[in-house]
Amino acid sequence: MSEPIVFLVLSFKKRNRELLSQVLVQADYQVIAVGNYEELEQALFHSGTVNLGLIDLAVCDRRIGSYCEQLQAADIPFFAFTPQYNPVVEQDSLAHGARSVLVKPLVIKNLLSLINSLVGKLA
Amino acid sequence: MLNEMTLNRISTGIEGLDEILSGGLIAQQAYLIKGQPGSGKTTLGLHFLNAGISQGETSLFISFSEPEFRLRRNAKLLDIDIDRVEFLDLSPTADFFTEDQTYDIFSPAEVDRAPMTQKIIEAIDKIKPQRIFLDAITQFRFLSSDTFQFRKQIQSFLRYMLDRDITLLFTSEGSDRNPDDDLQFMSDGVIELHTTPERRSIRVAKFRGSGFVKGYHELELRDRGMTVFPSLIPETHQRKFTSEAISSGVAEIDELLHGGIERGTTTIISGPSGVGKSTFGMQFMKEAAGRGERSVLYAFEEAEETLLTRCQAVNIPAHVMIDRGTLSVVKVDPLKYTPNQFVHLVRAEVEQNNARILMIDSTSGYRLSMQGEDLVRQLHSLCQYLKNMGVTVILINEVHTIAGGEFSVTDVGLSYLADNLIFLRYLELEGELRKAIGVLKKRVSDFERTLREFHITKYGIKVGEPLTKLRGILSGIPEWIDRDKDK
Repeated sequence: MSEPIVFLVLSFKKRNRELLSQVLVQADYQVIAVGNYEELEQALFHSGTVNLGLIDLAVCDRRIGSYCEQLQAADIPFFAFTPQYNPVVEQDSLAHGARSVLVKPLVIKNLLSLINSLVGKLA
Repeated sequence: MLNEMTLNRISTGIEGLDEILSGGLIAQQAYLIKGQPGSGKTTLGLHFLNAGISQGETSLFISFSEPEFRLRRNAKLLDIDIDRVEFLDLSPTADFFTEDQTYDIFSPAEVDRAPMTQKIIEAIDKIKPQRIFLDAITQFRFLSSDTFQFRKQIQSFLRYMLDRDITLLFTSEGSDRNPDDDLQFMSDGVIELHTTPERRSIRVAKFRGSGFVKGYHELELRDRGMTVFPSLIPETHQRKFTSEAISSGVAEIDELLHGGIERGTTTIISGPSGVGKSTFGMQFMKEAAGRGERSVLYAFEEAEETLLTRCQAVNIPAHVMIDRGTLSVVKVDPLKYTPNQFVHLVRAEVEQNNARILMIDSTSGYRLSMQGEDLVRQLHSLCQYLKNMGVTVILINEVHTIAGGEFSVTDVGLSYLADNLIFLRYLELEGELRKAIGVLKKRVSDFERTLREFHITKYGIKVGEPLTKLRGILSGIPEWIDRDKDK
C-alpha cells in the first residue's frame, strides 16, 4: 500500500480551509489545514511529511515569502491562490517557488485535475 | 377540450386579485411575483399559502431570505394564519456572520447549490405540497455560474415542481439594474407589485391560459394583509332587471316624470343649497323601502345623525328604514378612499346586499373627498356599472346660483352622465322666497314640460299644480302672465 499524499493547506479564511480540506479528503488525500503563521510553522517543522502545499494568499503579508522559500527548500511543490489576477503577485509567487498562481474562485474539477496531475508526476 | 372555465382555478387568498385573474390562478403552473423590497411580495405569498391551508391543501414556504420565526411572527401581526404552513428555512443563520462562514475559494454554485437542491428535494418529497411559495428565486442566480446555467436550472426546477402537480409562486426583486426578463419568459404568469410614495398598485403582466383584467389596480397593505381593489370595468358586470318606472310615492312628482324614474337609470337632482335635493332623493328611497327594497346613501358632506334627524322631521322614517335593513347611510370621510376603494364599498352593497337605489350626496363632495385624478370619468364608470346591475342612481348636484342669474343645471360638467335631469329652483314671487321643481331631460320616456311649486313640510314633500300662469321662472324672478293681461 502506497503512502498517503499529505497536503498542507494554508488559508486565513476558515471556510476556505474547510472547503479545500473537504474536497481533498473526498479525493482520498490527507490534509493538514492551518489558519495562521504559527500553525504553518508548526506544520512545516513538526508534522512530519508534507507532499504538496496549497497557499491562499488572501490576508497574507510579506512573511509568507519566507515560508514559501522554506517549502521550496524542502522540495514541496505548492500552488498559490489569489482573489484576482495580479502580475506582481504572480511574479513574486513564482519567484518564491509556486508551481502556479490560480485566481479564485477555483473550479473544483479543474483544481483536482491539476493536483492529480502533479501527484502523478511526484509518484 | 380544456377551456378557461374547466381549468382548475385556485384562490390567491386575495379576493380582488382573484377577480383580476378571472377567478384565481390556474393550478399547477408557476407564477413570478416581482416588485421592489417592501412592495408586498411576501404578504401575497402568505395569503396564497393560507388559502391553500383553508382548502385542505398542503402548503410549503421556501425562504432564502427571512428566517421562519420572523415570517411566522409577521404573519401573526397581519392576522394571516400560517400555523399549518410547512417551512423550509434556507436563510443564512447568524453563525454565517459570527463565525465568518464567508468563502471565496470556490464559487457558490459549486459549494451551496447541491446541498440546497438536496434540501428542497427532500422537503418536497416529505411534505408533498400542493402549493409552494419561494422567496426569492433571485438566490438561484447567485448559485449559477452563468446566465445559461441559471436559465437551465430554473427551467429544470420549474419542471420538477410542475411534474409534482405543485402550484408555485416565486418572487424576484428584478429592477432596471438587475433585470429578470428571463424569469418572466419562463413563468406561466407574472404579477407585478408597484410602489410609489403616493400609492401601491398591482398588475398582471402575463397569465398563460387565461384572460385577466389588464392595467394597474389599487393595492393596500393594511394591518390585515393585502387588499386589492380591481379597477372597475363596467361592461364585465351585468344583472337582469325589469326596466320599470319606480314611483316617488308623490303623485305630482310621478306626473312630472310620467310615472317616475326608471330602474337602472342615473338621475341628477340639481339645485342650490337648502332647496331640498337630498330630501327629494330620500323620497324615492322611502318609497323603495315600502316595496322592501334596499337603498344606500353615501353622505359626503352631512353627518349621518343630522341627515337622519332631518329626514325624520319631514316624515321620512330613516331610522326605521335602517333598522329594517332597507336603508344604509354611509358617511364618507374626506380623503379616506380612492375612487376604486369607494367602488369596492359600492360593489359590496350591490352584489352582497342587493341595494337597488344608490344616492351620492353630493357630486362635489365626492370630488373633494376622493383621492386621485379624473374623478368625473371614475364616477361615469361607477354609474355605468350600477346601470348594468339595474341599480337606480341618484346624484345630488349643488349649483351655486341661488335665484336669478344664468340658469345652469350642473357646475361640474356632469350632465352627460344623467338619464334624467331634475332641477329645483328658488323663486322670488311677490317678495316671497318659494321653490319650484322641473324636469329638463328624461332619456327613457317623455316628461311634463311645466314647472311645479315644491314644498317640504313636516308631512313630507308637497308638489303643486303646473305653474302655467307664470313666465320667467328659470330667471328666478317670475311674473304672472294673467295679471299682465289684466293690467
